[in-house]
Amino acid sequence: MLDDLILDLRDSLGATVVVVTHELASIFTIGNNSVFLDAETRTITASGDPKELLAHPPNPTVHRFLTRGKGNKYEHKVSPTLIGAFVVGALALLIVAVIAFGSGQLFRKTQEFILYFDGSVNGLRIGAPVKVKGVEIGSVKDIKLETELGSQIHKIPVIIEIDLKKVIRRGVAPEKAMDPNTIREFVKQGLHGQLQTESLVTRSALRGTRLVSRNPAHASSSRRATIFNTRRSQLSPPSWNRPRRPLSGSSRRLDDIDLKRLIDSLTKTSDGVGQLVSVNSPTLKSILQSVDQAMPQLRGAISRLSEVGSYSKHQRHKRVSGPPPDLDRCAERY
Amino acid sequence: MAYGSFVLMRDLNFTINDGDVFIIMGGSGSGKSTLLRHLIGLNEPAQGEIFYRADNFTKADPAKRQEILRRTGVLFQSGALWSSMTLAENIGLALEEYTDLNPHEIREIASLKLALVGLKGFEDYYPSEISGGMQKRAGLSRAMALDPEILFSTNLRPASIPLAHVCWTI
Repeated sequence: MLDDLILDLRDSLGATVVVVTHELASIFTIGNNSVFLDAETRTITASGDPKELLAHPPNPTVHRFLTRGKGNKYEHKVSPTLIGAFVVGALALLIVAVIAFGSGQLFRKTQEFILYFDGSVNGLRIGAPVKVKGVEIGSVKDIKLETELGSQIHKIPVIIEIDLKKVIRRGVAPEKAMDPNTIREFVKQGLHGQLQTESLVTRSALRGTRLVSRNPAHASSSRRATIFNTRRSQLSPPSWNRPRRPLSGSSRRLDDIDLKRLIDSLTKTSDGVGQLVSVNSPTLKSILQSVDQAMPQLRGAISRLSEVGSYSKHQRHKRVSGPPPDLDRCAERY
Repeated sequence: MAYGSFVLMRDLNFTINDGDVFIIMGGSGSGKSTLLRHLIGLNEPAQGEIFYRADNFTKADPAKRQEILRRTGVLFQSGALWSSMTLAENIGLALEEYTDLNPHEIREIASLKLALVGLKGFEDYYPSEISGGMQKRAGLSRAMALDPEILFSTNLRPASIPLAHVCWTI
């Protein structure tokens, strides 16, 4: 459009137009005279009508410039067949990689279940195996924490993925071996999840175990969970506000202790001891001086008492009546 | 042509005839734009002379150069419009500088020049309110304001020249 404007203005006003450009469309549309500046030789290597230069290029550089983007003999043309073969090869490699690295995971039929834990699942990681009587039938897919507003109790939903090919029942199709109704029946019979340590140095494993008895001695309640199918509408999760029995007795005893009074008493005792042993305390100084002065008199009294004791031992058989004269003297002195 | 001791181009001998649409072409960095700057006096040739008809432009004094350049118009790559002026004011600037026309006449001529490049009705738009292609056309209109004998232009074809545009306002 601007090219046409240039030509119109040139024709209507009779102006001469000098245009600097490397756009081939403009060059061939409006140009009737030209010079070609060659950066290599640093001079003009062609001049004249651009269309004539295209028809009879004076050198390869001018030809390349005027025919660039048109697949001329100086340019390398990429084969469409080669591009197609490259794409097909890349797709084939992608499929091989999916099969090799996926180990058939993409084609595996699985069923998800949710296990609600009341207590800590410390050590449990995503990918940990799920076992029934030592048989690995799936893995942990996700671990979350559910909270409820105004409640101190948290639930930990652990989502597990069961490989349906690992569970078989006689006369039942594999996809129906772990259907919700079957699982509901198993849960009624006592099936539940239990967190167990697989190894001291490896990791925790979530083991689904079918318990005949619900005796708490066999499994800690905080490490057990009830199994639910991920279709939550079929089975409702357990109540949120159920009290935690193992802690209730201990917490009641803790409530009975008046901790504030206990702490106040300990603080007063500590302050008294501190004032008593303080280096600058005048009371302590006076006590120490009195003790120092009394010590010689105390030693004298002890030695006299020992003399009195020996006198009594030797004169016991002579005693008739009344206190002995030395004893009276001692009594008067002290 | 040279930048200091670095010689960019040498032995440039060519003639542009009246009424030519003369193309200066070459690869990137070959010196096309530098040659244009020499032709309009923004750069001085290291050696040689430039003639406009019989007038030696290279050796002309400033007054003579101004007289020669008065017969030329320049369209820069981006239009190079003053962003603080409307399109009519941009075109009228050269008319105010080089003619004795009154403001009303200048406004009339500016409207006429804009109409020549398809921008009738955009007289009071600012450059930022129109597209890049329209800016380039307005630049062409300004370059033709003084009816030049020679029009210099760089890279005529912008990326796209829209037939319509949307102007976002806040």
